[in-house]
Parts: sequence; C-alpha cells; structure tokens
Amino acid sequence: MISHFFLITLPFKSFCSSFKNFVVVLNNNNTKSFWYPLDNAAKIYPAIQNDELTNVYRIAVVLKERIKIAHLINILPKLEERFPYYKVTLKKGFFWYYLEQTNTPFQLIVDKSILCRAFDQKRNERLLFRILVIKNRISIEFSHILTDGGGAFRFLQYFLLLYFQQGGIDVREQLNEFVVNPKDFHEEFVDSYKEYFKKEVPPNFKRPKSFHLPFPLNRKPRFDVLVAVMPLDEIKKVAQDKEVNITVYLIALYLYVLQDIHKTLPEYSRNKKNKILRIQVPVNLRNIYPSKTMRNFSLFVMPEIDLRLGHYTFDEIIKIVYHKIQLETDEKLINKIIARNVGGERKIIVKGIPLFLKSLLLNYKYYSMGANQYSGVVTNIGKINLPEAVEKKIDHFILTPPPPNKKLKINCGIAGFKNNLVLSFGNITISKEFEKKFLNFLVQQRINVKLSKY
Amino acid sequence: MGYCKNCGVALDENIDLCPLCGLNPDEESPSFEKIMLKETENTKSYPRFDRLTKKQRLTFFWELSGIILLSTIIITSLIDFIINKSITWSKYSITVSLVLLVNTTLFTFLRKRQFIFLIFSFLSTALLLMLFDWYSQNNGWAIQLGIPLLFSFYFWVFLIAIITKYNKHHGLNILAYYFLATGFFTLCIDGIIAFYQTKVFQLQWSIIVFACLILISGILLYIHYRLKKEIFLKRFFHI
Repeated sequence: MISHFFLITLPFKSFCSSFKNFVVVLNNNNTKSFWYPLDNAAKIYPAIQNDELTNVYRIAVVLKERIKIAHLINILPKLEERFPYYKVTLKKGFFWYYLEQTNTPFQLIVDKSILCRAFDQKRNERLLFRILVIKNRISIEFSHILTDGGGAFRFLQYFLLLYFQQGGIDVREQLNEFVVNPKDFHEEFVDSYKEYFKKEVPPNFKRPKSFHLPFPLNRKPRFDVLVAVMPLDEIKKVAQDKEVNITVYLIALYLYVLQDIHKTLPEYSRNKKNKILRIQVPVNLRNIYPSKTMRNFSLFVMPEIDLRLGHYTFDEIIKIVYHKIQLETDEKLINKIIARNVGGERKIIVKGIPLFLKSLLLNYKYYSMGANQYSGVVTNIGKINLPEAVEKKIDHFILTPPPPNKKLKINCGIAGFKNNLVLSFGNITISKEFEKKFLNFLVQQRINVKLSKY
Repeated sequence: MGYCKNCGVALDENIDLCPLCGLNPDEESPSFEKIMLKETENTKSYPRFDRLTKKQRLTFFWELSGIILLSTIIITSLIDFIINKSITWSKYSITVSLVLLVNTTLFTFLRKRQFIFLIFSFLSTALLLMLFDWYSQNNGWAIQLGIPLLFSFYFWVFLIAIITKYNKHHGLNILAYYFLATGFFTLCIDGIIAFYQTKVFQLQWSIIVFACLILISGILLYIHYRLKKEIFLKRFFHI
C-alpha cells in the first residue's frame, strides 16, 4: 500500500527533484501523513521498553578535530530529504503500534546526558533517533523500533560524507552510491522479514535456558559503559594464530570468561544455575539476502557451550564457535528463524489480540524465548571503511549496544576502524569483574589495551 | 577559530552564541550537580508551601489530616465516655475518622498505583458500611445493598481512571467517558435497588438516563475524534 502511495506521488523527472517533491508531499499538512507498520523485529520493542531497558543503541564517531557546528547544521535538511522514513514517531494502534510521519525536524543535541536513554514522547521527543554532538565526537542513537545497526550505520556514513563535503573534501563518488531510483525507493523501508518469509519452512525450535551472570544490579540509572581501545593488527594476529577471525575470537573469549565466572561461583549457586552458556550474535541479513531495507533486518546466531559436558579449553571453545557460526549463518537455517518470528506474527489469533493484551504477552515472550535463552551479546559492526580523505579526519568509532536487560546484565559492542578496534562493554551491574577478566586475557596475549570511559 | 566551552565544538569567529547549546562560547554552563545543589539550598532557605514538591505537599496534607482525624477520635470518644460512661454515639465518628485516615494514607502513598489504591479504598469503605449496619440492628443492608452499590461505583471509577491514564488526548472524549460511566452506574443503582427491594433484577428509570447519556457521549466522541482530531482508521486498526 505504502509503495503504491509513493509510486503515485513521486514524479519521475530526476532523482533530486523527485526527492524534494516527495518530502513536500510528506510535509504538506493538508495531505494525510504517511505511516507504516513496525517491522517484525521492532514489534516487540515498544512492549518491553522502559527507562532502563531502552532498546536504544549508539554509534559514535570520534574525529581528530573539533566539530564544526555550522557544517552540521547545514547538512540536516539534506538528511531529512534523504531519509524521510526516519522522520516518524511511534503511535499506538488498536492491534499494533505503527510509525507515523511527524513534522519534528532532525535536531542536534549536546551530548551531556545519559547514554542510550529512552525516547520520551512526553518530553516532546517525537523522533526515534537523535544526533548528539560534543567536542570532537558525533554520536547517533537509534531506537531499535526504527532500524538496526546496519541501517543506522548507513545513515551515519551518509551523514559523515555530507559533513566532510562541507569541509571541502570531494566525496561526490561515494555520495552517488546513496542515490536511489525513485521507483526503488520503497525498498528502503519495506519489512524485509516478510519479504523473505517462506511459509512452508518449519519454525525454529525453542532452546533451553542459559546461564546468567550473578552480579547485583547498579542503582538507577544503571547503564554504564566501559570503552577499551586496542590495535587491530595485534588482535588480528592472535586471532589468525587460532585460524579464526576477530569476531569468532572475541565470542570465544566471551564464553571462556563466562565459564570462568561460572566456575568461581559457590558450589550451591553453581549447581543451581543453568549450565548452558550461550552468546547472541546479531547477523546483518543484508549480507545474506539482496535487501536494501533501512529498517531492522538482522537475526541472531547463538554459539553455545554446555558445561554439563565438562570444562572447555579456549581452543575448544574457538572450534565450537567457529563451526556454530558457519552452520547457523546458512541461508536455510536463517529461513527457519524468520519462519518462526514472522509466522507467529501472521497467526490470526495473534493479530486479533488488542494491543494492551498483546504487549503483556510480548513482554512474557521476550523473557521466556529471548532473554532467558542467552548469557551474553556480542555485536560487531565490522571494520568500517570510508574514503581515504575522510578516514584521515576520523580517529575511531564506538558501537554501544542497547542497555542489557536485568537477566543479561552485560553486553559488548565491537567496531573496527583503521588500526583501532574498540570494544564497548555495556553493564548494568556494580561489578566490573567480567570486563576485567576479558581484558586481562587480551593483555596476557600481549595486546595493548587502552581503557576509556564515556 | 574559537571553541564553545560548554560543548567543546569549534565555532566560526563571527558566532556570538553557540548554535548547539545556545550559550556564550566563553561561558561554561553549571554542572548538573551544581544546579541540584543550588536547588536544594534554595529549598532549604525558603521552606514555603509553594516551594514544596507535589510529594512534599501531599505528605504535609496527610500529616495535617492525620492530626485532625486523630484529634477528632480522641475528643469525641472522651466526650462520649465522660457523658455516657461508655462509647455510644462516638463509635460513628471514630469509624468514619479511621476510614478517612486510611483513605488519605492510601491517597498519599499509593495514588500512583491506582489498582491497589482503589482496592484498599473499596475494602475500607465496605468495612465502614458493614460496621454501620452492625451498629444499627444488623439487618443486612450493607451486604445486600451498600456493598454492591459501592463496588459498582469503584468499578466505574477504576475504569475511568485507566482510560484517562492511557488516553493521550484529553479532551471531550474524557467527558464522554465520564458520561458513559455515569450511565452504566445509574443502571447498576437501579438494578441493585430493585433487586434489594423486590428480589427481581429490573431496570426502570435508569434506562432513560442511560439513553440520554449515551446520546450525549456519542456527540462528544464524534466532536472529539472526527471534527477536532482525525483518526486514520486504517492505520489505527491495521492488523
């Protein structure tokens, strides 16, 4: 329906003029504002979110020079033109939430508040993302309702190209990659889960509960972030020595540290706790399917070790993680997970439940089928590549995952840029034992780890 | 090129105010802790009623009403005891004061937890009715008439509270919901009284009241949702 709306309203003269017209149509108060339903992954977030579990993540870019505020202000209208589908606010329907166009302009905010805080509509925060600026750091915070890290990062890429273009750097070639044929524009905000859903595929099975860290929670606001910067070549070398990539190495280390913490628990507590250690690793499905969507399109693979089978050496864990990731990123298995997620949403009985009841059910499902099933999250945005002239201006990127829930307690975001690998540990507990063990292990491998705090 | 001392961004030379934070680039904004400290100091030096927070005001109101109600209990029971050498008429004022005290306490400390507040408020008021029934020959009107009426009242109040809380647009629609709830409450009153008197559940006058209120509510809802604010039914009801 939405695609037809755009196809009818967009003139097909040239790309630029069509986008301008498109935005005029969207901004015209006499015209019905456009809207779209939440995608399959986003549907759960409004039901579970609160002041602590915000589902807001951050990608920060630290520049080598102070930010030129005039340049930033100049590029905001261009961003609005290019990403009109992010100029939306969350609305409650009778059966589902949906996103509706808002007239609130894209804004810059001084980055002096709590990280990844919730979007508060009562405080007139109608958009579901924010751009934060301080000294030489630009950060974007997106609600997962709007998009995942893949979508947000592409937004940030365009943002940076425009910003540096204002500073006189020639990035026309790279900006051309963002030009989209008006006919294909709707592809950027389709729900790709539905697009690639196969009805005949059987849904995925439910996994047994996993171990959770026993640390006591922080006082509110709980979320705290520790940033560790290390040379990419050094960690690449130690990973290559084990014949795996950095992601596999760090996931294995995450499991190894969890095992270590599990082992040091008092006997009674150790026996009582679940003995399956499982890590949730988001996978960008745009790398598997030819989707151009700028909304959520990622799923998770979950490498695991079962401590009931005995103690695992680090090498054994690496082997398991490597093979598990290879297996679970297979398109057929991904289809199975999509079938489970989308299949549930398509059931008429689920569709017909009023929103307030649905929210209660989704909240329960989030913990029973979500948070209970994994012990940690490692999300890696990968190595970020930008034009050489732009790269010279940037020091590093930081990916901060959304504040973990009360069961998960700690998570980790990874971003690589030039020779910097930045780990960002989100933590809602009073303990830093996990981070200490994790980073100590890396230091023992002769990796120079530099710590910093947001 | 200058820098803003507050947010640290670079500014062009001809800019007087930082476009990001709105402050003079040379001016450093006070930290959050400093602002809070200043606020606290201000509160300490001016402990006036109009400077109290809502919570402080409510606590103050609760303390004051507590003192008044407890004084009422003591004074009336003393007078009653001195005159009659036992507790006779003062049991009414003691019961009412105690129930009022319970309700003001509930309101002060549980007003945000509406469900619990209403349950305890209902229970305390129901107890009041039962005690009054017991004091006056115990003929059972509290259980057969008083408590059902009270329950229906609390039920509709609870429903209205929930609707008001979760309704983002407060306008004529809220008034319409009040009318609707009143309509349903009149049906309950009529039905319960009829059942108490004749042991048959039948509705008479309340149907006329209900029909009028439905009509008024319908008009109000129409004005609110169709004329003042358009609701896009397709998106609202999309499944």
